[in-house]
Order: sequence, then structure tokens, then C-alpha cells
Amino acid sequence: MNNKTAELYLSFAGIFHRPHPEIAEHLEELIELWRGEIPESKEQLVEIEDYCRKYPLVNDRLDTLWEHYIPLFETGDIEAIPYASVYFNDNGLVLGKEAEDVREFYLSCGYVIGNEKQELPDHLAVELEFLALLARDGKTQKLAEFERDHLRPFLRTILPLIIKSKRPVYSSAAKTLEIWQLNSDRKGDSIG
Amino acid sequence: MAKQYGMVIQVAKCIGCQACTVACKFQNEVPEGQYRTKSPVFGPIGTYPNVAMYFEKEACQMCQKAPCVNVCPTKASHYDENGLVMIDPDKCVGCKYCLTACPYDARFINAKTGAADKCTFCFEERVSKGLKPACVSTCVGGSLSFGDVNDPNSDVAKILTKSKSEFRKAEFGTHPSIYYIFDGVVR
Amino acid sequence: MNRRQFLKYALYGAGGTAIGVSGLGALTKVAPKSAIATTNTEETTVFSACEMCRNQCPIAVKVVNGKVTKIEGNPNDSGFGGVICARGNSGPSLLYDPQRLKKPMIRTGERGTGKYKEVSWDEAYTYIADKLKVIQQDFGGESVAFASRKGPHDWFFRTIGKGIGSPNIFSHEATCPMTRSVALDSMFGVEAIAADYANAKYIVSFGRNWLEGIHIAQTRAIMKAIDNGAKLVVLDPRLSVTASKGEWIPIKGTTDLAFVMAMANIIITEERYDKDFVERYTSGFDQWKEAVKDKTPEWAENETGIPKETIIRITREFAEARPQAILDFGWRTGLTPNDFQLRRAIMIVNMMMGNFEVPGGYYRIKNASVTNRFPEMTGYAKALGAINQPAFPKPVTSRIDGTGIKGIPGQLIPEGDGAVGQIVESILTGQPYQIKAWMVHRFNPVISITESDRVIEALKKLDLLVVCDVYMTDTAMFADVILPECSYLERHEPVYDMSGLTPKYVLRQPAVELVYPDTKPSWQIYKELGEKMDLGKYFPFQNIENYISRQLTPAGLSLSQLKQKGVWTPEGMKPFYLRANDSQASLGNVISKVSQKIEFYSEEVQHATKQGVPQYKRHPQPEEGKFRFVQGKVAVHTNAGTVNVPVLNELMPENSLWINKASADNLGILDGDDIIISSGIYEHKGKAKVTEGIRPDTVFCYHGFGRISPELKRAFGKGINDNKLILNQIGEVGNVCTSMTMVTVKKA
Ligand code: SF4
Ligand code: SF4
Ligand code: SF4
Ligand code: SF4
Repeated sequence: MNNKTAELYLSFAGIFHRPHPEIAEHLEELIELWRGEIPESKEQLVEIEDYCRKYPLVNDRLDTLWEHYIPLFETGDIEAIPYASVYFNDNGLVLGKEAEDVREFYLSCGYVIGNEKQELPDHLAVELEFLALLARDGKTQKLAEFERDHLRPFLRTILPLIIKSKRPVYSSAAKTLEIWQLNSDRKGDSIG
Repeated sequence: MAKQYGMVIQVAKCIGCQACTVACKFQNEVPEGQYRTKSPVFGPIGTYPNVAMYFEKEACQMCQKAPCVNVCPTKASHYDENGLVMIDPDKCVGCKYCLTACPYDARFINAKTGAADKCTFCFEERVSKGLKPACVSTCVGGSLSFGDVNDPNSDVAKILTKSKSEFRKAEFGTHPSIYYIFDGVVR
Repeated sequence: MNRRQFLKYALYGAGGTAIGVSGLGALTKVAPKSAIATTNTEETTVFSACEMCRNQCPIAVKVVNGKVTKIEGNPNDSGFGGVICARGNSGPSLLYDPQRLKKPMIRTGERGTGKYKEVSWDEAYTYIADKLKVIQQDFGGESVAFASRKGPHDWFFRTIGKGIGSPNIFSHEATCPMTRSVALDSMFGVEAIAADYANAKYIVSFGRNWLEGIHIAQTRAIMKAIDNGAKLVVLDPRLSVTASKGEWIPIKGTTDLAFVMAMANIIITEERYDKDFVERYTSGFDQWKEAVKDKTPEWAENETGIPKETIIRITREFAEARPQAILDFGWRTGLTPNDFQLRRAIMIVNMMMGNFEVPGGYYRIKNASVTNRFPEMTGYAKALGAINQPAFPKPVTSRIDGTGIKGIPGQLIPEGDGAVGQIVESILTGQPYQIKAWMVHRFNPVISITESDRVIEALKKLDLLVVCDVYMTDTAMFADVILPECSYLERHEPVYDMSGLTPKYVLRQPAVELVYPDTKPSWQIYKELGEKMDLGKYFPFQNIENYISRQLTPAGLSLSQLKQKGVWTPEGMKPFYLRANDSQASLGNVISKVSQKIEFYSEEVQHATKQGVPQYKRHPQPEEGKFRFVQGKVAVHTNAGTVNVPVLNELMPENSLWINKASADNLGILDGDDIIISSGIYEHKGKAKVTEGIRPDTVFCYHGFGRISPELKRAFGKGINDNKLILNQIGEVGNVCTSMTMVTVKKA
């Protein structure tokens, strides 16, 4: 297993989690990683770099990330609901069967949602983080299974919504993730 | 005598509150934007100030001579052992013949299952367990009753002996199991 | 940490066990478990209380494997018969709505731009506490207003207000039933009076719309009465569903008082009233007689547009049916500035029928403290215990709305309610003094208080606005701090007293664990905020279970007992009508007037308004080319509360403006046309619904639509927000005045 896979998953998990100071601070590192691993996303990476230059301070970055995260993912006029269940079944409601299925999948691999982070299991970022852990631990088969049954169908619905939102960082990162995940046959890498 | 399930709708007592509509959705996991039943308004009829208005619950009429069953090429639509029209989603190929055949516009293709769908009298989930259908048990106006019309002690039989009932579109000869009572309604 | 090594560190750092080391990860390592164990379904029913509207109907929540799948009425309560309305049925779709508020948020951009960041509860509390401290120091506790939709959260919410010495604590009632409460209080000395519709033989509604403004027990009672052959007469400019079930009298708007006074006139002239009752139990009949002596049917015909023959016929039929005859006292009252006098007149005519404390009439609500005043009734039920609080600081000023000040109409305003519209005026005008901060709980002033633009202007001027809700409401859009409450299906609440003809207690308890784990029940939010503000001593309980137990123990009940059925009523106690068997029974135990009489003439009202018995006041009628603008409720939505709830939104995403066919023809408006409604001051776009079911001089829309918050994606911009058009006119007893607006309508 290419251990870059773990880093890549973690980098996207970091982006799509609720805005976090560590991620805000290390955006440049993510760009660098993506540039190396997903060279087709050049255009998107320039956009994120521009953003980084515009907001050099971590606090400003955080505030603007929140400003966009909330209407994009969190409350009210959500442009791209980050929970897989909402798209898979149960009439657009959360905690449907898909949430239950991924929760059970996590458990079968020895993971549960921590008490502190208080996130629903089928949140986009949690799924990505889970894959980072599988990749790190070399659980290739489980990883491929989860990608096929859960992540990819989810990405196919949600990424276009995030991309369409034209929200800084999120939209570019979603495009980058799309290039990596959904066009991944391109270089026959280790991923599913 | 064999059981003959029927629903009686006393139109005068329907207040159009749609509690039945929503209860049915949750009971039967009917997808967003789709309905097995609704109670639309008719009217106001007449000219101000002499006007009338009423609500009429609409759903599958549970025909005893059901065109939908006749046209179904796969026998997905069938009569169950109580004579109720049911759909086996595994056999349904989504050809929509039944949708066209139904004179009551009662069917739709369920967006989740891809099979034809309609009112089932909540048979499996409720009636077989001795409960009333979801719409009947939440009816705010007290318009809906359900039971065995062949059992003289049932609510439905009692109402039917007291009041004259009608079938919708009786001319189609479908022999519905939904009895509409229009006592007290200006049409 | 090496700048380039962040991801690696997060993945492999600190022992390489979990991403958690960076504070980033959501997953924690445990022993792997296969999921096979969970294939059998676990199904339970939790008895609780609905909160899709404020009626709190008892419900039975079906929970399958930890998920709410369906909600039904609680079959243990016979008045409700296991029935709930469409809104109640749709509860699961609120519970699992991805659009709910999930975390506390603090504003980062300009007010109204919707720029927020999420913070921890502690940060949110600290922010509020610090801000309030400064405001309190600079302007006094009275400069902080508190407003909520009335409910069980108030004990906790209001404690914060009382704790900082603010007199300015408000409910939403001035926008809804307050004039009725004032009327009852002025006549009976209590507001706790209810109608026994189920046993009535003749019911007259003045715009009251039980079949769309649904209260399950009352709606069912009305349907039962109709089923038993009762006659229903509905005076309403619009053909409501209720009107369609009875005799519809499309009365000219704001003239209801003329109809009621004419009824009194006829009843007195024809001596159709219950003389014994009037003599024995009431005072001020002579003044009333004087007030209505010239209010003849001819006069009323001219005022109301209803033929005098009809007025006489209805009055006679009504009086024939006494005492099982009810003139309904209304629900969303506050139609005109002197609306409370209409409610008084209605109750006076009722009392002339002697329909008090008998089946099919009005009755005092029989909670345990009332029943225990009667020797033959003691032992059935004991009152709930109260949680005592230390003395609160005494406010240094009087209230901004004059509530409680003797000699002015404010004297009559119930202290627990107030004139909520005055908050807006005080913010904008500084009169009588400046309100600087506003705490809002489960209330949406932008939609619920009249003149929305003015409300928004006021919100923008505040130093602090805090909103606690389950959704990003129109008002929350302007808040500095937003606190996410969990839904009613996820929390306990203090036990409610829902007594009627017998005592009754209802429990709300969580059916499932929190869906969004960082939301909280209101009791906890205000207890924690209080502790942050050094007001901890006013919350003398550990948790809600402890609070509830202290309510229940004095009543001889326990929480586990209440959990089993969700409701409690005394076994074997029959509906208690004081005069059912003894038409001369003393009312001393059920009314609270010093005079021991039901006061037709009220010294207090005379003192406050110079109008001790209701007098007729003519309100303007629409000029040629204009329409009176009226509003109402629809069965599938709760006012400003539910238009964003998925299933309900699906059923009715927007409203339209009802306009009479002939009037529309004159204006060249067709059904479904885009129109512009103008009050001369404000304009609103909308769609026309052309109908025969409304007076030609009146237009109507359902309330609660046309939301301005773009965050309420489903509801945003759809339909007409009635309150944008209505001026923030504050009525005599602090009420809104919803029927006073005249509008023009034209094609867009
Ligand atoms: S109403 Fe339509 S769907 Fe129902 S049984 Fe009759 S034909 Fe079939
Ligand atoms: S009987 Fe059941 S399936 Fe049929 S309309 Fe009623 S709730 Fe829906
Ligand atoms: S629940 Fe009953 S009253 Fe309400 S719409 Fe349905 S049938 Fe009519
Ligand atoms: S009237 Fe309907 S929404 Fe209101 S509490 Fe009762 S069931 Fe719930």
C-alpha cells in the first residue's frame, strides 16, 4: 500500500471536517501533497493557493472557512448536506440506514465515533478519515470494499454539489477529490 | 362468512387536515413527493355567499374486480387471501400498465423501490396485527372507519346500515372496498 | 511540529494509535466487533408530548432500534383518542432534518449577513455572560428584554431575566390569545376558563377555526358535537374549513362586537336570559343592559352587513339551546385595538345563558388545587410541587409596556405576557427607555410580530441578540449568538398540568438519544448559562429528573410511574361541572373576584380604560378599491414554526392571497396570477387565489409564510409574510391588531 493514500484521505478528511485550526494552518502542506499526487488538479490548487495568500493568518482563514462551511454543510440553506444517508434513502433525513451501515463497518474494523467529536458516522469527513486509517494500517481489502460500497456512491452525489457551490477551498478541494477518486483509473494506482 | 375488509369515509366529517396523508407516509415509508393517499379539497362550489366545500380522501379503492390486476403481465399485482389487491415488488417490472389501467389514479412508481405502489390497507404492518390502518387511527375529524363489512358488529357495518354509501366511479364496475358517505355534504 | 510533517504526524504521531492526537479525528479505536448481533429488531413505544405546536398533545413514539419511525397519539388519553394532526405525525422529519441547528454559533459578519462560526457551549455562554454584564452595568438589567413562545421552558429561560433584575419578560401571547386572557381575568379573576364543546348543542364562532387551527382535543370535541347534531355558526369574512361545516356568515370585518351586542339586546328584550343565574352570580348587568339598549338588530345589520332576520334567528336558536350553547371566545384574538372588549362581551352573553359550570358550557379548569377545595373531590389528585427559588432582585424600573401600571390600560395586561411588540418600539425609539439586548427563545419576532421591516430594523440596533431554537429562523439570522436546542423528541421537560374537567399531568420525555450530540435541552442551556452568570443559586436542582421528581413527589406520583403511560388522571373521577346537579352551587371556589361575582361591569377595567362594560367602537371599513387584509391558520403548519419542516413543506410550500372572484374580475386578476399587495407603506409580492369563499371587500392569507431567512432553504421567499404588511400597532391591552390593515391588490 502506498502510504500516500493515507495522507491523501486524511488531507481531504481535514478539509471537510468542521473548520479546524490545524488544517487552516497547514493548507499549504495539503496543496503540496495534492500537487505531487494529483497533478491534474493544477487549476484548483492555484485557487486554494490564492486563498491562502489572501488570508495569511490562521484566524482569518478559520473565520472565512466557517463562513462558508455553515451554509455549505451545516445549518439552514445547506448546499451540500454532508451526510450520506440523506442521499441514499430515508427521504432526505439523517441517521438513515446508510449511517447505520457505515457505523457497523467502522465497528467491524475496530473504530467508533469518539465522544468528543460528536459527529454523525456518515459525515463525509468521517468516512474519509476512516479510509485514511485503513490505508495507514494496510487494510487494503476493507478499504476497497468501503470505497466501492459507501464512499464512491456518496462522492458521486455530493461532490458536484460542493463544486457547484463555488465556495473557496471547498469547491476546489471537492474538484481535486473528484479527480483523484472518481477518475482514478487514469494511472492504475493502488486505489480500488 | 369470509372477511371482507372495507373502509368507510364519512365525507362530512373530513376536515382536510392531512393527518392521514402524513401518517401514511411514515407508516409506509412513502418517498418524498409521493403519496398513497391525500385528502384534497372540492370547492368552494357555488357563488358567494352561497358556497360549499368538502374534502374527499383519495387512495386505492381496493377493487374487487381490479383492472390493475387484470393488466399486470407478471402477476405482481394480485389478490391476497383476503381478496385485497397487493403488489409484490420483486415481481413488478415497472411496466406501468397498472398505472394506466387504474381508473382512480391510485398508483405510482415508488421512487425508492422502482416498483408500482399504492395503498395496502396497511395490511401487513397493522391490520394483520389487529390494529387499524395508520390513516384511520389518526383521523382527526373522525371521518374514517375500517373493518370487516361482513361482520355486523364492526364499525363499518354499523355505519353502512345507517347511511347510504357510494362507490367512486361505480360505472367502471370495479367493485371498490371504499365506501363514501355524503350525508350532510352539499355537492 | 515540522510544517511539512503535519499529516504524517497526525497519522502516525504519539504512538501511532489515532488521528485524535491532532485534535482532528472523529474516530476512536476499539476492539473490532462484527455487526451480526444487531439483526433482531427492538421495538419500543415511548409516551411523551408533541411540540410541533404549543398544544403539547400526548403522543406515543414508536422507536425501532433506536430510531423514531412513527408518532401516534397516546391512546392512554381518552380526550385525544390516540389521534394527532398532520404536524404531529411529521415529527420524525424534524428530528432527523439535516437543516437543524447543530452547534452553538457566534456571528462573525455584519448582522443579517449570516456569517457565523461554531463555538463550544462554554464559549457561547461566556460570550453572552460577558456581554450581558457590560450591558447590565451600563444600562441596568431592565435594558435586557426576554421573549419566548410560552411553554415549559419558561421557568428556566425567565429565571435568567429575573436573575438580572429585568422586568421586561414577555411571552408571544400578545400576538395570539392575550385579549381573551385579559377578558377572562377581568370577569372571573382567572384566565383558566375553558369550553365544553363536546356537549354543546349550539356553537357560534367569531373567526375561531378549530378545524384548521387544530388543537386535537378541542377539534375532536367540535366534531363530536356536530356529530351529535349540534348547530355550528361561523362568523368569518372567509370560508374557513370550520365555516364549511356549519352556517357561514361572512361578517364585515371588525364588526363582531356589534353582532354580540345585538344578541344581548335581543336576548334582553325577549327575556331569553337565565335570570336566576344573572342575579345570583353576576354583577353589572344593569350597566350592560344600558350599553346594549340601542344595539338593535337593525343597527347591527347596518354595522355587520348581516340581515337583521338572520341576527334574530341565530340569537333565538342560540338562546333556545341554553345552557348548552357556546359563543366561542376565540383563539388567535387581537383583531382590533379594543379586541378585549369583544371577548368580554362574548363572555357576558355566555353568562346571560347561565352556561357556566354545566355540561356544554364554560367551566373553570379543574386542576388539583381547585378540586381540593371541594370536600367531595379531595383525595383524587394532589397539586404538583414547585421548585423554590431564592428571592430575585427587585427591578428598579417598571416595564416598557406599562404592564401593571394602575390607571392605564397596561394595568390589565397579564404580567407573565406583556405587550411583546413594545420591545421593537423601545429599541427604535428609546421610549420609555432603551432596550439594548434581547434574549429570544423558540420565538421568531421577524415573522410573529407585526411590521417585519421594523422588527428587523430594531434587531440591527441591538447590542446583543441571543436566539435559542431548533432551526436557523429569520430572527436567528440577526443574532450574535445562536444556541441549538434539541428537539422535543430528545428531551425531558417539567411535567405539565393539562387539567380540564379533571386534573391531568402530562410528561415529555426523550424517545431517543440526541441526534446531533451538541444540542441541548433548554433547561440545561439556561441552567448552565445561569451558572456562568453567577445565577446558579436560582437553579436549585441537579438535573431535570431531579426537577421532575420534586414536582411529582408532593403529588404522590413518581417519574417512573408517569413514564409508563405518559399521562396521569385521577382514577374514577368523573368530569367535574360544579353546577351540573346543583344550579345554585356557590362559585366561590372557582372564580377569584373579591366581589365573588362574575363581573359584567368591571371597576378595574373602568379605571384602566374608562369603559367598565364593553361599548361599541366603529372601526374603519375599506374604501372603494381597497380590501381588508385578514389572516389565519392552516392545518398543516404551525404559524411561524413549521414551514421549513420537510414533510409539511412538501404538503404546503407556500400560501397565496384569497380574493373574491368578482373583485378579482374587476382588477383583471386570474387565479394563480402574480400580484402585488400594498398597504400604502409596505408592499409584498404574492400569488392570487381567486375564490367564491371570501367577502368581496376582504383578502386573506395563511400566516407563517414568505420567510426572509435564506438559511431556511425550503421556505425562503415562498409566499406572503402577512406581518410585513401589518403595522406594529399596539392595542389597548398590548395586543397586536391583525385586522386593521387595508390593502390594494394589483397584477404584478
Ligand atoms: S383503485 Fe386502482 S390500484 Fe386500487 S385496486 Fe382499483 S384499479 Fe387497482
Ligand atoms: S390504509 Fe394504510 S396504506 Fe392505505 S392510505 Fe391508509 S395509511 Fe396509507
Ligand atoms: S385525517 Fe381524517 S379528517 Fe383529516 S384529512 Fe384525513 S380523513 Fe380527513
Ligand atoms: S395539535 Fe398537532 S402539532 Fe399541536 S401538539 Fe397536538 S398533535 Fe402536535
